[in-house]
Amino acid sequence: MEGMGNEALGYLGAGIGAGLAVLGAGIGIGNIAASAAEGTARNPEATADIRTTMIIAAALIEGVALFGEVIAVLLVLK
Amino acid sequence: MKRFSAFRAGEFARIAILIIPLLFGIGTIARAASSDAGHGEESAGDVIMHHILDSNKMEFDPFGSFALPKLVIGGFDLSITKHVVFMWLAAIILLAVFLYVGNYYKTIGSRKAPGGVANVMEAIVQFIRLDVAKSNIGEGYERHMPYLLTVFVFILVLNLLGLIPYGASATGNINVTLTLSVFTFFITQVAAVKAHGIKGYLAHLTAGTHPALWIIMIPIEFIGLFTKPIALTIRLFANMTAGHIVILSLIFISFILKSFIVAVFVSVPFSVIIYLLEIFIAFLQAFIFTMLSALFIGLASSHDESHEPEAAH
Amino acid sequence: MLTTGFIMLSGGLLDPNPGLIFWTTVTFLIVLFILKKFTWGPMLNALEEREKGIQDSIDRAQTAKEEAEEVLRKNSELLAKADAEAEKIVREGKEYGDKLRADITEKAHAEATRMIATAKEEIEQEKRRALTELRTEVADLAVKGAEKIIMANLDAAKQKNIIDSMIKDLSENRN
Repeated sequence: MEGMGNEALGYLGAGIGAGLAVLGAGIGIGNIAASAAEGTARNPEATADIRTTMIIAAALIEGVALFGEVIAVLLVLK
Repeated sequence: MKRFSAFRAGEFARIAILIIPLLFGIGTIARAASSDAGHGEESAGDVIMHHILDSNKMEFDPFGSFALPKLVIGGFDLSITKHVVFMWLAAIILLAVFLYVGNYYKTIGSRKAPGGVANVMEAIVQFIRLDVAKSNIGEGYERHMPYLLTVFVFILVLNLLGLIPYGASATGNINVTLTLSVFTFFITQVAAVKAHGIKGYLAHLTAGTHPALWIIMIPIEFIGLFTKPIALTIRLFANMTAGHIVILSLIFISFILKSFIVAVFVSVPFSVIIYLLEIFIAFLQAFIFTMLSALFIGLASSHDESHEPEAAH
Repeated sequence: MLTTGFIMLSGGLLDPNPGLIFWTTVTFLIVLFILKKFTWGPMLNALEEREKGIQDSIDRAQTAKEEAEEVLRKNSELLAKADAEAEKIVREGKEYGDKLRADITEKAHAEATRMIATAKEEIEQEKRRALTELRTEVADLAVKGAEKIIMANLDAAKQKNIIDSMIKDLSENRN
């Protein structure tokens, strides 16, 4: 662990951070999609409503994930 | 004969939708290649930032660039940057299209069904009017319709402009998104004050707790007021910027690795796919911004509010 | 905490740029006002008018349908009533006719009976008259015969007494 300067640690942190952010987003949106699929299976009439809700929720969660991404990018570029 | 030409037009549109992102990819590759050659040993990160950030020059590599005027008025740097130019371009496009549509409605009126461009725009307007504004704001939604509609098409056009070659999306600049969020914030607060009065507005800051807790509640609620616009800002900004960075990174992979095979089989196809995703995200983010604005306005001006914990953060 | 971290770590991406903020505001407000006046105004008005027009048409169609149904219902009611009336009239007419026929038949019977009785009486009368005439004829014949038989010995009074007693015998026998 000696040869790692601050920059390297910065890059490492950025990489891990970005990975974790994407992981969180993936799990979250996966849950949403699962619930949406189940809801549609139970009640095919509400498909349009469920789809709209799913897209909105997915966009919100991606927004949160992108907060993390932005921090990671900044860390890399600084 | 008419069917023949319609068939040709459909074919052409389909081909165009597939080829244009490819061309954009190649265009950006050319751009990146020449800028790479021109700047020598710049790292990929710097080149990417160069494309993302605002600058005082309008660059049309490899055709050259020209500098934009710098205006310094009273200590404020009001120079016209790339993003400003693109905002003006978006404004011109919007005005051109929608003034035509507005004129159409003035002359044709409400008795006939609209056709052509007006039809498409009407679909958009109806969508925002019913699904976004009416369901989120409820009563009195007509007053906020112009703002919501303008914000939607403005952000949409700005996002899409960033996807054409030599384009930059002004919404990838945090100042722009911050301004739009501040607009939403003001409108939300004004709507809240109009709905509840000053006392009701201040009462909401305390959220109905015992006066002893006020000293803690008020700062927290006050900060809570600002989280929503900040979330809006960062969401739009990060989506647009991240999308561009991903595309540029994919394209620059082939340059970093200096391999042609990677370029053909990995870089360009992935870029095309991400480009299509970006188009979808452009629409989606404009819609999300508008919908959340409508939601906040509705929440602020509702008459039987119930304080639920915020779901967005 | 997060925001200060942002601003400190910013790699040029998060540079505040008041000029840009200014231009953004200006551009957006100009677009907003122009579009509001020239596009959203007429368009939203036209959309609302159209919605109202459609709703009005639907309402009017609904009202017209209800009225038509009402009229139809009333008509069928009237028709039913008229039918009942007609039936009643026919029935009453038939009853009256029946009654009349019975009356007339009765009267005819009575008349006939009466005429028969009268005829019978007349026949009786005629019979008595005939008998009376017959008696007178027979008496005359008897007298003429007796005259011839009993010619000269009889004077007038004795003749009369014998003849009267013969008549009385005859009428008693006859009667």
